[in-house]
Amino acid sequence: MNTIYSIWTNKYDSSRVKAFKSALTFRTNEVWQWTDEPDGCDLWVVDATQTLSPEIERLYQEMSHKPNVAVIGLRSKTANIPSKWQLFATPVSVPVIFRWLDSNFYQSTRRLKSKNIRPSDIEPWKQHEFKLISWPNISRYGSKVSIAVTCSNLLNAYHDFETALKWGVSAEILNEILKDAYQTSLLKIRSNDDSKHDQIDHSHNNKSDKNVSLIQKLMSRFR
Amino acid sequence: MKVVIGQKIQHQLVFIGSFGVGKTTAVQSLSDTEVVSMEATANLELKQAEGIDPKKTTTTIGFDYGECFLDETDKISLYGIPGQVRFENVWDTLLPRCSGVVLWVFGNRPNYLQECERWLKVLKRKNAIKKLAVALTRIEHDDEESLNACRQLVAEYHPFAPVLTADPRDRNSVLQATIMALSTPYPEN
Repeated sequence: MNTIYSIWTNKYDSSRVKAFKSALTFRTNEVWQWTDEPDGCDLWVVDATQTLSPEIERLYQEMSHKPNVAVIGLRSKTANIPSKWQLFATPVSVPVIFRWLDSNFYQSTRRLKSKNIRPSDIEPWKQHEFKLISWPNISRYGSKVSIAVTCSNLLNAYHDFETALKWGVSAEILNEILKDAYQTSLLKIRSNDDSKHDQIDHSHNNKSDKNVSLIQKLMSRFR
Repeated sequence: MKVVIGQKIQHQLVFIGSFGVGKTTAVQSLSDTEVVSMEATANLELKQAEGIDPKKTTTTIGFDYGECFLDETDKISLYGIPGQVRFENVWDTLLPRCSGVVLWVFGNRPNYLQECERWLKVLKRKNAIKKLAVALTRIEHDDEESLNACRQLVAEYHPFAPVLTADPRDRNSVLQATIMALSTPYPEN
């Protein structure tokens, strides 16, 4: 099921804004739709390459539910933007946009949309094997080595919840990590049927990551 | 005493970053041996740099070296390498063949992003960007704004490199950054 997000901008005819919106079409399972109404919108894309009108900030301050704001512009001309706004220095690259969406945008947006989540969508990592696509923000969970170990293992291969619990992280923290990762699209989940037939990921990772044995020894050394 | 000279070096881990950020301390946190340091008295300009412990009077001029023994036959060689550009030959020697790099950055400096980017450019130029973790020091764990700004910058050089808060004095913290650097995936073409 695709998730629908709404975007508002101060300059619909801006080529930079159009390019930003185009980048979002590469996000699978998401539909991004323009809206004329800034209030209640998920994302504002503000073109500030020429000037940043104070009206935009005033409008933002009036919003009862603050949207996520992406500002496209030069660092020199946007030094005073509100701290919660995200500046994208030109030229904006697609990976940078995706990174921001994955690390920041979804957490705040999906919290608002959480009322619409179906029960079957909650905690799918409890029923299936899963793998991390990239590092979550592990500073959020403290500087325990077991957290790094767990995430490291989950970056290298698919595992189930019970196996992940054996690496020393409490069920509560593991659940929190996986929930955050899931909500920020950093968690890849596969069905049990897939796990029987799909050996591609394992072989690819074993081949590409020469540090796996080193990490395992390091973990054992400091266990 | 463990014999250092003549042993086979199997893995190398490099700690890199600006003067005073904690590279030597990080090596000491993980090393099983006494750390061999090549330090000299820092000049006045370095001593007065922002965020530096006023008690710090020395700077690394060669590199710091320590060893972490994994088992009876295997070990990691730990290097803290100097931050000044004039020691680029040391970077050339160690960076291209290392197993992982932890880039230490002052998180409390207003120009921390520029500082970080300077190092990212060096690591990319030296072909040492693949196994990277960026550790921000001297900031709170929940300083999402600083972390996210840094993540956005780092993603321009490495799409999956982790950015975390860390304390070089804390062994667990250094170990966490190390494991993250070693296990960071890098997209193959």
